[in-house]
Amino acid sequence: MKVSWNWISKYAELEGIDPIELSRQFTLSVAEIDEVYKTGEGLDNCFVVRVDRVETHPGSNKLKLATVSGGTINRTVVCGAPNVREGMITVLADEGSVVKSSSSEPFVIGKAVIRGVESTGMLASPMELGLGDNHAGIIELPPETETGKRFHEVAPVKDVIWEIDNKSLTHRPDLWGHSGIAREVASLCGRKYLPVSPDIVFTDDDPLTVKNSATDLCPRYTAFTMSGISIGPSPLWIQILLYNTGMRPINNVVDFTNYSMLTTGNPLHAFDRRDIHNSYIEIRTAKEGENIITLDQTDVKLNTSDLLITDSEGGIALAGVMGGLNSEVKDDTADIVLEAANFHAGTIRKTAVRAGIRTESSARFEKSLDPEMAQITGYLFARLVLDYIPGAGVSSKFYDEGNWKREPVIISISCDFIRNALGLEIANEKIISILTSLDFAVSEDRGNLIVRVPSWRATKDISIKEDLVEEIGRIYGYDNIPPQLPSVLLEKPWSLDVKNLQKIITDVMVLELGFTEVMNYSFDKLKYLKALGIGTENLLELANPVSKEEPVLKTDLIPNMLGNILLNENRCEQLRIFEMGRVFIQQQQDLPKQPRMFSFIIGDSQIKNQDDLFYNAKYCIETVIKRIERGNCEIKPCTTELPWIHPSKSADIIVSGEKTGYISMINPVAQKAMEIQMPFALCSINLDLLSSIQKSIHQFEPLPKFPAISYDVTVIVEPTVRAGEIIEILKEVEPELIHNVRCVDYFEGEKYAPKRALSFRMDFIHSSRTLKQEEVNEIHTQIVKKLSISVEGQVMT
Amino acid sequence: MFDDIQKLEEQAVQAINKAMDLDTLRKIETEYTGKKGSITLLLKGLGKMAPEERKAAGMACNNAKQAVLSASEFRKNEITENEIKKQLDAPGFDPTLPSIPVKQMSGNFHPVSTISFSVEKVFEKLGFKIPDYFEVESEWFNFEALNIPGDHPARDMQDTFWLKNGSLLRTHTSPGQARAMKEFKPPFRAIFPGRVFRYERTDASHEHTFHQVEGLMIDKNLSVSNLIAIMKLLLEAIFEQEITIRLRPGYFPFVEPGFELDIQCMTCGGSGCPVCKHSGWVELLPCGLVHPEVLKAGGLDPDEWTGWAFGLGLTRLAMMKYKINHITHFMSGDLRFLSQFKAGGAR
Ligand SMILES: [Zn+2]
Repeated sequence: MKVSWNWISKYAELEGIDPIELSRQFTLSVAEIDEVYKTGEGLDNCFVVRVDRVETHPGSNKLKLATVSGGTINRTVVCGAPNVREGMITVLADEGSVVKSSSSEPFVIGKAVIRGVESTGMLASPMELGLGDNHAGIIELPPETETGKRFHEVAPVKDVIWEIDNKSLTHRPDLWGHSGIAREVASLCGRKYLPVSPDIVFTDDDPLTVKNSATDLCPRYTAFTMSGISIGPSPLWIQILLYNTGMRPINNVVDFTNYSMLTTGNPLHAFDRRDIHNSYIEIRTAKEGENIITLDQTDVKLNTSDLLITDSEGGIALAGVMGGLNSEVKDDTADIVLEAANFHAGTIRKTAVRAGIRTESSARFEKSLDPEMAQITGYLFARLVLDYIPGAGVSSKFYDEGNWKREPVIISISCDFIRNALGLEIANEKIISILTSLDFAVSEDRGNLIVRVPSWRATKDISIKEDLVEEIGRIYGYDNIPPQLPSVLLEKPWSLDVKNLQKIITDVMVLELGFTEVMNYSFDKLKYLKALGIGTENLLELANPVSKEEPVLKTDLIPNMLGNILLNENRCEQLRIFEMGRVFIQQQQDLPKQPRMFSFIIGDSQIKNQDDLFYNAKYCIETVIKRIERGNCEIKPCTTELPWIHPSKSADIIVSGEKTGYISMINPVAQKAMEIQMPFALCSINLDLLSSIQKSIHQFEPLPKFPAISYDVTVIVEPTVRAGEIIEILKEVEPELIHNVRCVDYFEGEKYAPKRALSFRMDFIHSSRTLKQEEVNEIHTQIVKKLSISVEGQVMT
Repeated sequence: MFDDIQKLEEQAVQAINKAMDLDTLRKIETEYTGKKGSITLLLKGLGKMAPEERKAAGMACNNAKQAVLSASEFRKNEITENEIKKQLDAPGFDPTLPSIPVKQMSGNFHPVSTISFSVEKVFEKLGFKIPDYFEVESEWFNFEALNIPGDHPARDMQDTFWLKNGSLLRTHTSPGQARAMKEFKPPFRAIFPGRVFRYERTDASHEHTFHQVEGLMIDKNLSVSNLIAIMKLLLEAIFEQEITIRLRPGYFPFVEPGFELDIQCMTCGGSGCPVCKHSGWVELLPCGLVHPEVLKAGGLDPDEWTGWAFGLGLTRLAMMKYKINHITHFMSGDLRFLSQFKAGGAR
């Protein structure tokens, strides 16, 4: 919203205050000012002059020579405006003036020779003076305007405009007009506020019937008629103020309604009196199937929650949003009905949004205006008409229908409460003076305050103690509150286990294993689901998806990570990515299950033996499990079925006996469907499951007192015999003596085909003595025998 | 002539059906239908024939060529499927074989994680708890519990992702406020970082999915002065430099008084530049004292307890700290972006 300093200054005594300096304080205490700028700069050398004589230009039949006078000025200038005529009062932009050109570039006036005639200065159009886009002719001032004066002395062209961020005014219905802003400014500056208080005498010449049938949606409806109006331009000063605050001047009646609205914040509407059938006005909700054509010629289909202003025939205005085309003020309008009303905020907002018509009016009614303002604004309008339209008068009584009187909002609060909440030592007197400056009525009893909230702050803005704390804080200035850290009691540390896991795993993945963390959207792409053969029946559907392509919440991290491979595989040979995040599983009732998952992918486009990637992935997950102290990590046959899991090159990950996830080569069918070239393995772990596993701290193993004998054995077996099986067998041969059994190598090839050879290494350790060679031989014999019986293995010598 | 064509076709199809891999198949295809393939040569030789005969023979040749090609296509699919079947059925694959250590490579933290970790570290040291709350939320926790009533504009369809079952994707981390009040016995202090969602079109500075961290402290007699001190401390820890902040009134239904916190522009030091739109200040986060209605929703007595809360955009903070100009990089999965951030550590 644009706010004019000249306008504010009508409602507060602000002499000597710098509006640019003050704008900073206003931002800190009231609402954010996005921009501050001056108008009328460069117009110091513009003078009010009278056109004494108009002659034709000797070198042109379009141009004229105008002789103008005013004060010390008496000169002849070249003028091309069609409206220049003898006797008119206009503005001479003298040498040195900076005016706007039609390209809105500033233009410095100087001496010029135009078609052989020397001319200094020029007669200016409203556009050139920065007063709108009218460039059809030179500006015409009222005949009584004193000539010889500088233009800015007779018209408020020099101004400072504050552009206030509308968002920061949403909760302040009282600040949508200049008088409300003036109240705040006066309070900030400690100056006197001058409230709007016009006085009007009403008659009963032209009776109306005003019926308010919807007092819950229209708490107050006031109306009166005025007659003897002649439509014409409004006074220049009003046009200038309107123009500088972003409104186009139209005609006196429209300009006065806008001027009144921009003063108090309460929108008005003027109807042509002729179009109000049977002098009857009713405020009611629309009937099913009813419609209205608004001023902008929109045909609005109404529903029964919309509020309508009607006459005996039907709708004449869409309440609070826009007037009806059927009753608009026209050039020949002489009598009007002026509406000054208060409407229910939510109703106006819903109607405006649904009809797609957002107006200055609806924007204001949406904020919950103070019903008191309706009357004041109506009076203000009447005053303008009486003052500026000769022959016009009030012709009816002041109709005031509704149910709007409320008990005033009274808040009891102690000064201590305010001091505690702000963390500020502030005297009782200061608190009271701040509240009083904002027109709160305060009575004090030993630091306990009874505060009556003014009506314009009581509609939704201020209702509780904490609201008053804000009033004190912002006017006192938050910058003046000394920062003080709170003091707290020591307490037992607490941390979320799954969070700790996530942090350790993130560090291990990035710092130790060289992975890059990715974050993907929480939605699944239909394209991927289709390629993977996943139906959407059991997925959580969005009512308003971001696109038709991503209509569901993801149940797994992997599909989007496959997308990550597609995006990156052509740019890198090796790809290691991981993601942690929630996935969403539908449940019968309540919120969906939202388990936290951890998945990683390791790919390599240059790898010779693709299956190695599986064992790389296995290395990574084993490393991770080791670092989080959740016991041992076993690899067991895979029981998980997902489209990307390879039916035979996959395994479950068992941590301390609990299945927590899986590891797999990419399923070639899924890979082909996803059109991924790079070979890769993947792994997925449920972090919630993992964190539910008891922490198991590795216990110290005494260092061996006697030397360990390292022993290797290589055995040839059928390819279906698992290395893990053999390790278990080896361990059982002499559990007391055999330690650290691990598979260290395997060989395939013609030499063994179809069988293969597996090499194992282990330590023989006796707890109380050194093993003899015969004993070692004996164990070897047992191993050979055992392997031969259990897995038909043939030990190589 | 026609017999030759017939014979060639039969020969070709036979060879094709015997082919066991794609390489062989390709060779056979070329042998018959390539530039110098036998069927092609036959076709070229038709020139010497009488016109009617030539027409019929030409047709026969072309038919034969088509037959060979379609047999080849069919066989190609068979071979691929067989290959996949063979790959799928790998009885010899032994997952218990020793794992293979990965080669040294440089990993990367996601920049949002790095920022989040640095915020978490500061608050952990100050004794804040760090819980983690749901991303799919109920309307009650996301709105009602935060004093955002049913007809509030913030609840319009245009800002919120709704699920068909009536729940929603949380529009901020603030639903954690009531959850934390229900989870922990006061007094307590907590922050909860996480992803949040807004139903909006994406562009350089708008993204429907981004990250925030909520801060909440509940105790007796907490004040605006405390909030200012904490925010200054946090921001100086994150930006690793002295920071000037200011509070100005801001309206949020769940705090009263509510503030917008601005920091002095770090690009120009407050003198004005394009980053701060020449104001010298950059709007950073909303904060305030917890509204009594929110305390009530969390099961606390507002006459006994007070609180302050803030909501900090982690994604925005990362953009400011690393001068990232396009918000959609974060969720892009593009390694050219993600591999630029080497520093950091979760712990
Ligand atoms: Zn700056």
